[in-house]
Amino acid sequence: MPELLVAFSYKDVLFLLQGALVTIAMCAMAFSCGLVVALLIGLIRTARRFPALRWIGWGYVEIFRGTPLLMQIFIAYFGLSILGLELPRFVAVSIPLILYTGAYMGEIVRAGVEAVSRGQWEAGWSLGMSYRQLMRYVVAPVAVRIMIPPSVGFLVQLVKGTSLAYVVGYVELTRAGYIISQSTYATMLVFTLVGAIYFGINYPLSLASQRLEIRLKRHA
Amino acid sequence: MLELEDVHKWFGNLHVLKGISMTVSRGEVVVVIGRSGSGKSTILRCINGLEPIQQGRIMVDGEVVDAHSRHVRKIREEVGFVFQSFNLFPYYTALENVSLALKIVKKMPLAEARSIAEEMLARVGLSDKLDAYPDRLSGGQQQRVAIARALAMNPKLMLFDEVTSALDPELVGEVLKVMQDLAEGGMTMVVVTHEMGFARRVADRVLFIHEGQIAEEGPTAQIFTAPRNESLRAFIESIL
Ligand SMILES: Nc1ncnc2c1ncn2[C@@H]1O[C@H](COP(=O)(O)OP(=O)(O)O)[C@@H](O)[C@H]1O
Ligand SMILES: [Mg+2]
Repeated sequence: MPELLVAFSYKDVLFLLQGALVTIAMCAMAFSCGLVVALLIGLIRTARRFPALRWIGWGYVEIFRGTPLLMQIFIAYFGLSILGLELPRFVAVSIPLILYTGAYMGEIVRAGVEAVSRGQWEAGWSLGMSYRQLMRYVVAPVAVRIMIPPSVGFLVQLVKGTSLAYVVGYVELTRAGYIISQSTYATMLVFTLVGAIYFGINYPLSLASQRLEIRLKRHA
Repeated sequence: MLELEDVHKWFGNLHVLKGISMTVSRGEVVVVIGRSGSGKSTILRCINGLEPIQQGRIMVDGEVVDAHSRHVRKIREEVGFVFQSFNLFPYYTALENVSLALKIVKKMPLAEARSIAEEMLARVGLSDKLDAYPDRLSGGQQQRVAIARALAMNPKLMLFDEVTSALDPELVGEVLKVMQDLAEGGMTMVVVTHEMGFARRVADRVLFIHEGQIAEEGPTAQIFTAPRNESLRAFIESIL
């Protein structure tokens, strides 16, 4: 046991923290790009006037929510390379994460928009507002408040979901832990540490969302 | 000011408005009465293009209302609508509720929008509630904010759809008072209501809607004291 601890140096910890940074960067990227996709999907899915678009949105959401993220990453990485498309690892992992985020967050956006009553829309219309003005000034303030808790819930999922990138050899936090455990044999210790770091990323997220929720609720 | 010519409206197979023709002149107050489901709300909603019509024509101040055209937004700016359920924007103060459309639709500078909003809220007796959020206001106060919000746009025509029906009885009076002041100030108004006292005091004319048609119309006194239509007579008895 003492030898094992000796073998586990501060360099290894540094390596893990580097992996954690990659995980955070991946999440930030997937979440922000995915949010753009999600807004599009959410608006498409709530657009009464375009039933064809609504069906496309529905198909997209069902496919990406109905299949494992792991499989999506495999297909993006190996599938596309079979087709002759050699994507850099970061991109190959990012694309499925973005699309996956788009599908889940798209549903959260849709639920938020649909929670705004017809009466609110009609009040806006009857004041001469356009669809865009209504979305921005009337729907968004209500919808965003509704979206916060499920969004944070999803973000926590996403942080954990990025660990799947290790299957294609991308060195994020989980992969970093795996590499160190291979060289030091301190498997338990390493993965306990890895787990603690994931928790360290996610817990502040939950806390922040709780505070935000309370602040925004003040005038419900 | 307002003219409906043989207006028909279907919801799917349901024929809701069956040839409504009416005119309202500038400064006139017309009260619309009728049983629930007779089509009163639908008439108001068609007038400001919230619902498209399938046949006939609606004109507001010489302009055709087409719910599908972009131009309908211009017409809506000139037609105030007050709903039974207030529909205030929950995360805006009373003042912001009233000034929002001035800022984003009429593109007014902030200070100007604010001063108009203050003036309108004063007019409905809510100068002391400028910074209150809707959840801190009573139903009657919320409805008065909604009226101020519509008035701020400086409309040529105001539509009221059972605006006191959702209120506790003791709050009805304050809202009717505001509407009466408005009528006396010369506003053109179409008012759907079950408040017969209000109709008697304020209306120039009453329309009785029955199953999507105007079954009877006339000066207020005549409608209440000498109704000719059988269903109108039954209706008046049922609400008195
Ligand atoms: N959006 C809608 N879709 C289908 N039917 C509707 C809709 N709105 C109203 N109706 C029907 O139209 C009829 C008239 O409704 P409405 O104008 O609201 O009546 P009123 O205001 O006189 O009570 C009712 O039978 C109602 O069920
Ligand atoms: Mg009605």
